[in-house]
Amino acid sequence: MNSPLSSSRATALAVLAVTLAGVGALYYGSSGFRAISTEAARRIEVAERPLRLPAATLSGADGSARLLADDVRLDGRITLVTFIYARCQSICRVVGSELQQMQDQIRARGAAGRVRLVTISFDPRDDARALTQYGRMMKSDPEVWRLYGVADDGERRRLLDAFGVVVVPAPLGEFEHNAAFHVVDRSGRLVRILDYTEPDIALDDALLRGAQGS
Amino acid sequence: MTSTLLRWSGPVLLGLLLATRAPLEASMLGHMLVQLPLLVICGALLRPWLRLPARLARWDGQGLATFTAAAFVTTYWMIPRALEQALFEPLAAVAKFASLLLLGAALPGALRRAHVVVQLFFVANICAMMAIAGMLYRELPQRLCNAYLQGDQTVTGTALVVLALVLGVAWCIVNARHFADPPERPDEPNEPNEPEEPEESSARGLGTSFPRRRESKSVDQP
Repeated sequence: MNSPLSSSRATALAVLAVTLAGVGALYYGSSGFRAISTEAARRIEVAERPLRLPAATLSGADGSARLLADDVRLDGRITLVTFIYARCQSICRVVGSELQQMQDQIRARGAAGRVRLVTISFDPRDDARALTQYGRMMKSDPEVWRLYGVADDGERRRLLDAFGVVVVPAPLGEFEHNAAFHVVDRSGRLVRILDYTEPDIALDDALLRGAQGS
Repeated sequence: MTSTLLRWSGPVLLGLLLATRAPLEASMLGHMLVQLPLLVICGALLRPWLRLPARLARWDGQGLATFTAAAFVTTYWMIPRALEQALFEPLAAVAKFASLLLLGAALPGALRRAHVVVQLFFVANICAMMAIAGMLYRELPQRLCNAYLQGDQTVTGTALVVLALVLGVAWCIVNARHFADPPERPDEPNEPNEPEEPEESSARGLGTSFPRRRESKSVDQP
């Protein structure tokens, strides 16, 4: 061997380099060993760096249309955003009944002036009528809980991307999608994402933020 | 004729894998258990074109660097988030193709250099990890990838466990000669009173696959 480095030493160096690169990659891929799913990573990222939401025109159950940013700013309350589609038979039902209870909670705690609920449908089939029907079924009080659709395909896609909601068409005209409570602050930033199984934590978080600002 | 066929099989497979990206990546099963393993095989078939310099073998004694890389690369692409990033981010997709093709290109040489015990260590390690990941995919009630359906995830988990078993069994079959009893000598039945003989010969049987240098050293020492 005319090389200054013996093969065993070269191999040891190579293994060390590969290990360092590998650990680095795993660290990056798992958001610092904290998340293995995209959903968990997205929640960590948003909690660390609030996200400005893109421009999207919301069409309300009453037929009105307004920009999401305007809606949030003019309203001045902390908004808990959820995504559903009206025909959903599975996860949105769970979210729907949770939202009903949250609506009651908000009213019972006298927090309707600081926190509100916004539910956005990602199903293009959900027009004003379908939304109204859904709202009636859920007994939504428009003062606390409003339902919207997004008419424009591009805007809807950008909005879902920004929120990190991925909708996968499933058999029988259903959709599979990640469900969560999205806390949006008064300046229209997405500040926290909480699992749909943790409505109490989501509501507490929103109430806390609502109390801080006022 | 067959050598030309073998020579072109790599580029053809790579072309096919690039062309079938959308349909394969549409399901978690096709993505993780069809595309990724085929990329490794494709890397191995691309060796006549890649021409990894022979000097590199010095940095990969016993194939240790390659096997370490194999453990990390397989683990990384079994992280659901990493797999999903390769779906939406072009850089991650490039990293996926490059890492698995290079791994495939390096593996045959590493396997040739590695002692059977070294191989066993890494194969067992990677198969165990794959099986555990598969069981997790099967058991977890929540979806790990937002882009893939829950049912797809369960099937992928089962397939990962099966692949881990198949890989392990395949490795055992290929290396069966290392575990087999030493070949019987014609004069053995006539000499039943030699208890040490079989042990010695079995040790010798395993020794044939030790690296040359070490073998010669043990011969020289006495």
